[in-house]
Amino acid sequence: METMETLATALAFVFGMCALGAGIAMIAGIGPGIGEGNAVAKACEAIGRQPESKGAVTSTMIMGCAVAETTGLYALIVAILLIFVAPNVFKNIILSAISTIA
Amino acid sequence: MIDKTVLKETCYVAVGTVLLSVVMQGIWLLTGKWDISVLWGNLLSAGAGILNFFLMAYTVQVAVLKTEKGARNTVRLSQSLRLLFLLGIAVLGGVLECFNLYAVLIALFFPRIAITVRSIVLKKEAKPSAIESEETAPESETVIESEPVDPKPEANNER
Repeated sequence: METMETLATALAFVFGMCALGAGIAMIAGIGPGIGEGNAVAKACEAIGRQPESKGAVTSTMIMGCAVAETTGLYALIVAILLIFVAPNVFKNIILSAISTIA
Repeated sequence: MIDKTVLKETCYVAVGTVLLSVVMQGIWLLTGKWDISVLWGNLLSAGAGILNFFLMAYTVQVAVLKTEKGARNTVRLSQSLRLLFLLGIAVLGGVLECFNLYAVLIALFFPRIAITVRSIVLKKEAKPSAIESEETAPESETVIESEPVDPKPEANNER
């Protein structure tokens, strides 16, 4: 009975920590938005100064924004792995540890 | 109206994503772990990635015509919404059994890989032209040096 309680507590702790970690990881999604916003604002300024360079600036901005977004994507992948993959892995580790002890 | 630059860049990214998807399917086949969920996951994620890139490029096209503050806010809002869209796609890939989660997550990176590869190729193409321009520049300088302009031609004639 005590073992079952310990198992339930351990699993609840692990699932909670995974969800918390996913939430913390998604904070990294804020950064690219701020960075892209600043970059595009400066691009607006540049186009205002030299309207004939609009095409070149837009093309460069698209590439830059796509690369800058990768950071947010990493955070997304980490969060998804923490939600869908990590709980099962930790559950198996805890179960195997308990079965070894028992 | 969608700008030609946006369409051109989206086409390049789409072609790169399709090529990388074919490579990934081949690797899954070679490792012997391929099933139909890998294909569905790849299609879902690659389509979402291309759509995400197109929406980002269209946002940039719209934003550069606005004021600085307006552009900043537009891009931030767009990035947040697109990240939510990608999160939804990834959750869909994790929840539904017909999608392989790993295929979904890996294929999300394909547009970025395609962009990186393309920028490397563009740099390599730009380098030879830069070398050519460097080679031609000294020749013109030597021509100028070999025939210096005489500041006082009349004075020399007098001598």
